[in-house]
Amino acid sequence: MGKVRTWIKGYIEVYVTGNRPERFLSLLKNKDIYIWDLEPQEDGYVFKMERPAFREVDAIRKKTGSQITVRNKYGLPFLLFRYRKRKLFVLGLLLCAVFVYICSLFIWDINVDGTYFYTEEQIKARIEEAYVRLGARKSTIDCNQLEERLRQDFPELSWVSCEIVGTQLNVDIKETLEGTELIDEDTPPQDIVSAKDGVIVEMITRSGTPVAKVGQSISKGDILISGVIYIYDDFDEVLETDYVAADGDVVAETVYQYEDSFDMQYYEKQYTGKKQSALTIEIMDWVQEIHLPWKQFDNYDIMEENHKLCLGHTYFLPVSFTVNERREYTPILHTYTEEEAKEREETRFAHFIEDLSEKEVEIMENNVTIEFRDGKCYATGNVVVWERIGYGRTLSIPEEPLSTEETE
Amino acid sequence: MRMTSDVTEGASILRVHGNREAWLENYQSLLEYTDTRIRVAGKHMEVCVDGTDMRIEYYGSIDMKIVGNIRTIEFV
Repeated sequence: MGKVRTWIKGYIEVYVTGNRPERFLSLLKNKDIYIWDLEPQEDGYVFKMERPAFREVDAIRKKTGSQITVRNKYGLPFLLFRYRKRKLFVLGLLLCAVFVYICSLFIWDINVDGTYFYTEEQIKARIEEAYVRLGARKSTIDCNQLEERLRQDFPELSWVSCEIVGTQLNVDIKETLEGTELIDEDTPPQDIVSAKDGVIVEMITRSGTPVAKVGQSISKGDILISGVIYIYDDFDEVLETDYVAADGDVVAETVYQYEDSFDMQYYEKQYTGKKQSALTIEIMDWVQEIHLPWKQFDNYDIMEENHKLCLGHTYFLPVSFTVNERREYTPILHTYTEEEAKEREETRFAHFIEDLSEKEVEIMENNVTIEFRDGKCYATGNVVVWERIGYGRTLSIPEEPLSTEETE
Repeated sequence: MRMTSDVTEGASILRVHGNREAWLENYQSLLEYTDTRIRVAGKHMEVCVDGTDMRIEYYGSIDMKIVGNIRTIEFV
């Protein structure tokens, strides 16, 4: 900041020579004049000083009998002086400064970091749709409230931090590794029911009455832990019925069907080297595309590269440039060998397993087989996994029948 | 409370970080400045800093900063 202030005030590089230039420097010090980048030269010294202080230098020069030469001038006052006759240029400069200042009052970019389960686009889209649209005034944004709302909208978020830096809204998030639901006192009475068919392999009940047991086969929608608790008297008759929010972890062995196929023939793109570019300029809602008449390409890819105008790292402006490039290619027909097809299918299956693993699922067994027929590669089979299958379903509490005394 | 000599006598204060940077306070004037020696007058003695690539980064009324490869510091 100090450097910017000095630049705004203006500073000069001075060369001092004479009988005793050291005395000149001492007098500068005594007058409380700050100098920097002091360097010895053949018969004097070179240093830099602020422009306003230079007015006092003449008196010191006369007193010490030194000669001073201004070697260079830096900063805003000298720049304005140099361009004093170019009024439109200065006006443009001022308008530019006003534009930059006005833009700095709004949010022009949202940056989301730390996603794993959710995508950055999902969270960005939610923020833009419901809370902070691009172009919103910074002063209207309550970061604490935004954090709270995001936690409500995305239950898997365990920690959210929102911060405005420059014209950018930075959202840092952390996600819970397990999709656990927080049960508190305000949670309405609920049952834990099964989301899928399977066989229970692990079961922990934290509150409620366990209905299913380990080893039991269950179907989708079956109650696993009931939110109804019966309290019996000494004669095994129901004395009281309590309704609670059932809570617990139920892990079951379930089966995923895997089916995948692709053609043994495929097209490979051979780029011809011919390409054509277009430039799109966006200023707020105004969009202008600039390009020569498009060339006739039968097959082409479009590569798009977007650059947002940014001063520094965080000062985004509502101006962006997009370069679109069309690259022509010729499709060449190829056929996979059985080894290649098998390798490709194995990669696709590995992706499927990876996706399953991301859902906190433990793979226990897989019996997927690959076969080739009718010009296609087929992969079919079952994947046996252990996964959490319980989710909360609100309990409907039957209304208490009115007692006969009350009805009378 | 005991006052330090820089307050009572105007003694110079020299702070050195490694052999690359030195800050000098309570000095009176610059006596000699080359790229191998910087000699500064204090109230009661001179401070002579020898080395190579010696440079005064700033020179103010309160302190000055010396940078370079400092070899010796002598109080004369």
